[in-house]
Amino acid sequence: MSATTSTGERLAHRRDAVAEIDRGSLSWPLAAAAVAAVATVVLLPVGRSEFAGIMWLWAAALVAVLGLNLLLPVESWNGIVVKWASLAGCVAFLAVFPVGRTNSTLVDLGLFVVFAIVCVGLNLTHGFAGKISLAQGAFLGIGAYVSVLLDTGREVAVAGFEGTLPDLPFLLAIAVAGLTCMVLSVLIGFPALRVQGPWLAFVTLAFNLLVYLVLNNEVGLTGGSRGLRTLRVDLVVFGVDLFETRNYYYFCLVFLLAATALVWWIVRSPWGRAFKALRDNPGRAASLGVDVRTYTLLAFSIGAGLAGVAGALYARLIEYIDPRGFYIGQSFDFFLATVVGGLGTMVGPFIGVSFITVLTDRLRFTGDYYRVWFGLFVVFMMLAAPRGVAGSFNQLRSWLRARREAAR
Amino acid sequence: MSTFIQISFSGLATGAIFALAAVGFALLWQTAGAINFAHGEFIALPAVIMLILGEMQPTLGLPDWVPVVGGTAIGGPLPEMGIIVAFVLTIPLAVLVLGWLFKVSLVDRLLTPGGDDIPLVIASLGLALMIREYLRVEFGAAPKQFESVFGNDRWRPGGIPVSADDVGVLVVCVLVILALQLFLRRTSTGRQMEAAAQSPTTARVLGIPVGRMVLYTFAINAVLVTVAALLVAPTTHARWDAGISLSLVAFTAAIIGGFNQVRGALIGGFLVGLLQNWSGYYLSSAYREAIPLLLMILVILWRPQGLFGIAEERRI
Repeated sequence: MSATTSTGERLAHRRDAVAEIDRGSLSWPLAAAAVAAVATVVLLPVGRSEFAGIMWLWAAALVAVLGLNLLLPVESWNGIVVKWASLAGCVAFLAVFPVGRTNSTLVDLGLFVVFAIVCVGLNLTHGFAGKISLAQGAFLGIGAYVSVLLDTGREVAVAGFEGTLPDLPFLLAIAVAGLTCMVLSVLIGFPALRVQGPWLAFVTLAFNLLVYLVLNNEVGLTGGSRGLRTLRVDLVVFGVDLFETRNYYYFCLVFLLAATALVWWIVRSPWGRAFKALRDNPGRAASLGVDVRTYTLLAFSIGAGLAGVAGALYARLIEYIDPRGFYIGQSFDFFLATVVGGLGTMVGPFIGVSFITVLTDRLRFTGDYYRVWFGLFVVFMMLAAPRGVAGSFNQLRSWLRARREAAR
Repeated sequence: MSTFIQISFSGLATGAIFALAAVGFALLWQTAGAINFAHGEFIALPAVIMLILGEMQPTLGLPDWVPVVGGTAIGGPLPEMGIIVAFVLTIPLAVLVLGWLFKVSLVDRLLTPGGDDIPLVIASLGLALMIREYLRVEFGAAPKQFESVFGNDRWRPGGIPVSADDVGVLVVCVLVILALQLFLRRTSTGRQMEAAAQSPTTARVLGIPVGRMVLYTFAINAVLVTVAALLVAPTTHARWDAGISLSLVAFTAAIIGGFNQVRGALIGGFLVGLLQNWSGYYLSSAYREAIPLLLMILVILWRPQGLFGIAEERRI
């Protein structure tokens, strides 16, 4: 624009440009909302099992909450009340889920909670810090094996080492599992986080396969492809009998709430702002003095640590682990769930994870097209609403807000 | 020594297939900027299609009174098509679906100039899941035997056992790759494709139809994956989940060799095949896949342009 243009003309030009953007982006949020609604209704096979029904209800409730938040401006008192009420409602939902359910449904619900922990962590790594990771399945596996090996006093023989592993209390074993994953992720992340986007995807993918090979081949330590039995009858923490599946579900739920609170706190703290700055414009963030490497490494290792903790919980939940559960496919599932739910939103992982929990092996039937539909859905979502279910609602909300302000 | 030669030879044969897969993957990345995580599924799918087509018994639909010629009733079902006919039929199908349709419906929509390449990565992961699971549901989870087109003969020239399949695979791969190189270097279309890959803007200024050149790349990739499917299926069998490991091998080979060069991906493919066989025999058969993966990680971290690639300047 030349210097002779008057301020009025410039402003008019700018207004037109903004209007153009709004018109252009209108079709996307609408398409996204439609996709979200269709997904919730079609994707979760209601009536297939009690658990699938609960998952359907859960995803539908979350989409409804997102829709409700659309109608009320966030800044108003009504908006704030609705926000906190829906949060309380979701927690209550999770707490009431297991009442009067069969043991098998309880295990599935536990899987949902455990996978949610992984996706909440991945959401921090990818959604907020912008670092793709296709190794969450491996971290889940490392956490599972480490905790199981450390809290039963097992005899192992691996690479010339023979002996008895310690017999740590369960809580300590969980902590060690999480820490192991954090340390490992720092070791691979320190060199690997220099590379971006698809390169990081390839490195994490390779790491996942290497972990799988180790789990599969170090028979003296991991039991190889036969896996490990992880059943433990005497699982008592603070006087609560965790062998009881219902108690174990609540135990996992506490971890999920803690993980969510942790990520929420990180995202709201100066750290979180640094993450967002990094994700949106790494070059600018670095020039403003954000220590790029430390922050991304932190995000990466917290994501891995949460996956490790989830792995420790997972092992005792399903009573038997083998390497196939931690293959690349599992990492893809976590990744796609987080993307479908909406990267960089707090609600996203909770929506996405209900899709993938339904498609785990326990609920998988031969001749079932469910996973085909899920794959197709991911493709369509990238075409129509690349920000995922929750992200699309956010987009729609900012569009509505812009329109309201324009009308004022 | 003879063991070493034997192992190296079969490693070269495996590597040749990896090279085909890696060259296709590298071509798409280089020309269209498309990173296709469903590349392995693009190989697994034609293998299954060929198997199904090959077992079909086509009929001409002629009435019963057509005379019997040479002991075969012309009106009745013809003999099974066989793998070769199925292969010939699959090629145009692959070009249409895995080439044109893939480009038009996904790549063109998800890759914006100067944009992020992660959306296409995600969509291709979804596509891979879709193809994989479709094969599992429609085709069954059990791996199916896939006959080698070169038969099961084994020879012992100079006391070294060599299988007909390995020789055939090596010969076909070398011919296909030579043809591709000749096409890219010597024909006008090939030169235009290279130009479009190296600098789309300059190519466009020079009047090269860049869009069509990119489409040709997708078509070539579709042919390459079909050939790779024909050659690799006898060893991996037609399996619904063969795609994951094939994708990984293609990425590994392309990255080790250097994805911005067809030559790099080629050498990468052979190198991965050889490394797998050598480490499988001399180090540990359980970790035969591990060495190429470790090498890939090292290459990404310290020489991201690949061992034989050319460093690109970072443009902002």
